[in-house]
Amino acid sequence: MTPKPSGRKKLPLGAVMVLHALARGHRYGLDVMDQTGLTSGTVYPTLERLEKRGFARSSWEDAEVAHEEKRPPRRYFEITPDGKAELIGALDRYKALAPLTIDGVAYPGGAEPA
Amino acid sequence: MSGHGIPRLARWIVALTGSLVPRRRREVWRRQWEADLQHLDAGGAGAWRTIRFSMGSLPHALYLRREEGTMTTTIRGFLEDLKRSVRALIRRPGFSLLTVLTLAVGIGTATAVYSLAEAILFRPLPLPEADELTEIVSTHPARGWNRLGVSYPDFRDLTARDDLFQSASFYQTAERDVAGDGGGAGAGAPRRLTLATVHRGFFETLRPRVALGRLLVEADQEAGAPATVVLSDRLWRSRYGSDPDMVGRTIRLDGVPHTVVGVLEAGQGVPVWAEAWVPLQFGATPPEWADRRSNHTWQVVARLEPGVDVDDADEQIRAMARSIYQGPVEERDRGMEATVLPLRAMQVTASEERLFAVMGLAVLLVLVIACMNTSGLLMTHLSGRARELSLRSALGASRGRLVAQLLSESFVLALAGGALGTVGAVVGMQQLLRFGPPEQVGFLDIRVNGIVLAGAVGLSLLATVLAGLLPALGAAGDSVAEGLKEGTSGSGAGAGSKRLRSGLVVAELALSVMLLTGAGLMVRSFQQQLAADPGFRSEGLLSFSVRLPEARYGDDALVRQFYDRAVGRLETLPGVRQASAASALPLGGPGVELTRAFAFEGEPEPPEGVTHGAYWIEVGPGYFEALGVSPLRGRGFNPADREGSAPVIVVNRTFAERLAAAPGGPGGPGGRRGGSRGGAERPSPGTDVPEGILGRRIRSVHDESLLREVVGIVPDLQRGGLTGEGSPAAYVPTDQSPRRAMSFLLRTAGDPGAAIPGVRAAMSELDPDVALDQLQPLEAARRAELGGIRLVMALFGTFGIMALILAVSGVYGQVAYSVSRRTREIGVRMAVGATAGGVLARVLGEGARLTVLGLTVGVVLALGFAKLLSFALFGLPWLDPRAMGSVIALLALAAFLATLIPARRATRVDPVEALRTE
Repeated sequence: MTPKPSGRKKLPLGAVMVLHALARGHRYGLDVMDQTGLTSGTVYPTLERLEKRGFARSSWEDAEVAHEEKRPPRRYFEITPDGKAELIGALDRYKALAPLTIDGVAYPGGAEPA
Repeated sequence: MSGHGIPRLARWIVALTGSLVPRRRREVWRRQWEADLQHLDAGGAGAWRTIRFSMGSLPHALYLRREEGTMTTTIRGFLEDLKRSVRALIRRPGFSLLTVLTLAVGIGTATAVYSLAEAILFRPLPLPEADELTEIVSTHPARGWNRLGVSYPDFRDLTARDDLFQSASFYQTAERDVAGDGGGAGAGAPRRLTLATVHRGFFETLRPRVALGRLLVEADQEAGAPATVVLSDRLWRSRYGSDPDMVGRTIRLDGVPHTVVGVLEAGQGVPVWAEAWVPLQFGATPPEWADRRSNHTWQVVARLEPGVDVDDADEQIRAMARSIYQGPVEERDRGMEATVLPLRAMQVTASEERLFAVMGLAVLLVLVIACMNTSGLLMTHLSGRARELSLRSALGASRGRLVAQLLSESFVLALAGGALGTVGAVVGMQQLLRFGPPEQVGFLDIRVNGIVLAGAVGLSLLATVLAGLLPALGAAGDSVAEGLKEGTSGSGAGAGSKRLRSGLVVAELALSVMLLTGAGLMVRSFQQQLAADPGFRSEGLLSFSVRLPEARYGDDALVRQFYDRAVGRLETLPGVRQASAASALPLGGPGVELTRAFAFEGEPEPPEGVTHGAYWIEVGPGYFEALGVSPLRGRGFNPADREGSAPVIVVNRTFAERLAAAPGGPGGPGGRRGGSRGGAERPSPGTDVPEGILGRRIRSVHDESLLREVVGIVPDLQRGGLTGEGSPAAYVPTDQSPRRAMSFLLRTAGDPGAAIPGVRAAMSELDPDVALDQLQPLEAARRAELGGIRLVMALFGTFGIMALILAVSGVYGQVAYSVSRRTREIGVRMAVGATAGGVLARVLGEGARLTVLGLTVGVVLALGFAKLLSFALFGLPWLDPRAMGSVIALLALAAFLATLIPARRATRVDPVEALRTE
């Protein structure tokens, strides 16, 4: 097990999923929900928590862009370098969960294990 | 949902939870949620998804709050307040107990009654997608017919709209005797079953769940298919001991073997009281008799297309029915309509609906009184603490802290009242159900309804909080000095709060006059019912009913033979003096009365709307003798009135009078015209009987055109458990009009219950498969019929008594409070020479002012309430000076006693003590 850079509590799976979604470029609450399948009640507090621990940061969307699209500006989140390091460590920890064959079927389906 | 904007509920949720977010971060939070909600909406998410999404704002807000640290302080402060409140309340046990009890009474009563009403009237059945389920009924507003069945042609036309209905079917309830065979777990005497004969598609429409086997399918509905039956959970348990191998077994219904194909899960049946379901084997087309437009006998159930609103469907079906009945239909059906209603456990008639409405009002009044009383108690209590609060405020407690403290006391009180009230509601509902007729409430799954309970607790919470808030704001106060001064002067709260308290007491008194008057009226009408002369000796009579199955008794001769032999056999039983049979028995006994219209020989049928109608009752020889009734004029029936002899008819007094005044009739009593009955008192036998109709021949116009000679006039017999004052009735010999369903009447020598085993054995010898239904003393039938009234009466009585207790405790509290606040003033008065009598008079006068005012307002309200109740009073005048007088006297006396206690305390004030205490 890799010691984590922050040396604090390990991120729970939900937080890792959210961080993972941010790393893939999904930038606001609703989008992250769609990507992770988590509920709003999990995603929004988790984003706050990630921001507080320095793994993510938030900023307001450019008002002009939002105005053009006739909607209020969104609160955008992005992953920080610390967050990336944390994510790598976490993915390493959850590696044990990666591809598995159950009853002759490979999970996750589709891609062959590398 | 897209394009309709964000559901309001979602916006509310976000706005509400936003208030939990620490102020510093609230703006960011709000903008973030607003933006994402809009995005979700623009993406075309449904309302439900948007609402669920918005729920996430609560954990988000709570997280921010926790992070900020505000959470713990708030919670800790609140818990601290609660602890202190509980301690403060325990220190004042009298006040706390009284308040909690008051609230519990209000909450308990309201919860019990509304839960009951909800279960019966408003709750959808526990079937899949039950909100899509509807029933279609025919109505005829001009004639006051509601909830008739639907005819087959109407069913076809009205449910053909596949844009409205996914599927539709119909049923009819019927009775069958299930034979006592079966062996194994299904042994026992034959029993009458209430079942539903159902058309194809019935179960596909309702989609009930089965516990065993299967539902009826298309093949079961074919003409000539093997007879099948689906059992209810209740029947399966009670009669077949929950036999797991029930499916495939054969039971005999009216002697016809039926294969059990399935058992429904509990609560899945429609109608809820049905015990079994058998297919109507119509095949492709119904038989001619079933297919008449005027035959409004089918109970239609229909499942709406998803998304179709009941009201929309109703509007369309109404329009369709109207156009049908404006076309070529039978004259008597003109003006017929149809309506779509949500499918509920019980179809409640209009008058029952009104009864529920009145009851709901009464319950609400009790709750309101309870809340008012609590407010009064709290206000009294808090103004007693004005000094303490001022002191705490002076010592630096913030206004917010004081308000929080007082509110948490209100909260604790309301919560305790709610908890006790819940217990009360559970017990109360069990008590209420005991009064109800078991066959009508037994199948209902009645529990305390959470939403109702929450509503009642919420209302009392609101009342206590409001009551706590007003004085709290005042006490926590603008002016510390003012409060301290008031405290020392001992004059208590200002004139404003005194007026408010007095107003509460007056309102309570007024409401209890209203409720007690209602209760008094109900009790009096009930007593009148019990005391009413039924027209015969009802003691010592035993009754039961039988239905001979058509399959084995299709021939009238067999029916005649059965009844002749049965009566003959029953009369030989020890303890039985006389036996007879009739199609319907008086006093709410078994049987069905049909109404028929009559005309004199040679007269045309009476025009539509003018009916010379009467209950048509077939009776065996010796019927009047068994009842102990002698004819007023002419004769009763004798064995010579047989099939083939001259057709005869006996009428009751009311019908005789109607006939006498009818077209072609001889006119009033003794041949004179104008024989209308006057007043409610029963004329003594033998006077003013319109004997001119004896010997005249009449016919019943719709179903039978046979002319019958009037041979006798008998007194009016009380039909139901309730007076049937002046109901016209006509009796014909059963031998001249045999009927397969009859009720037996036995005059016994001693206790009628003692004859029951003998009766069972004798009837079983005649035909072991015929069930004896409602085998019980006739008085028991009457009592059962009165059960419903007794239930309502018990409710009103309870409400009235509670209102009385609450009102009197209100008067006491108010006067006692006022006396205690004025101890000093009274002391001064006595010191300067006022006598004890003078003080007594002053205090009593204060109580009397409140009482008189309350009673006066109450009388006005009570008059309105009594008028509203009048439909349930069975002919008793709603303006009943005696009932109202006794209520007023009772309340005045109770209020006087409640005033006397503090008044006497006032006279014992020692001037020296009084002046020293403050």
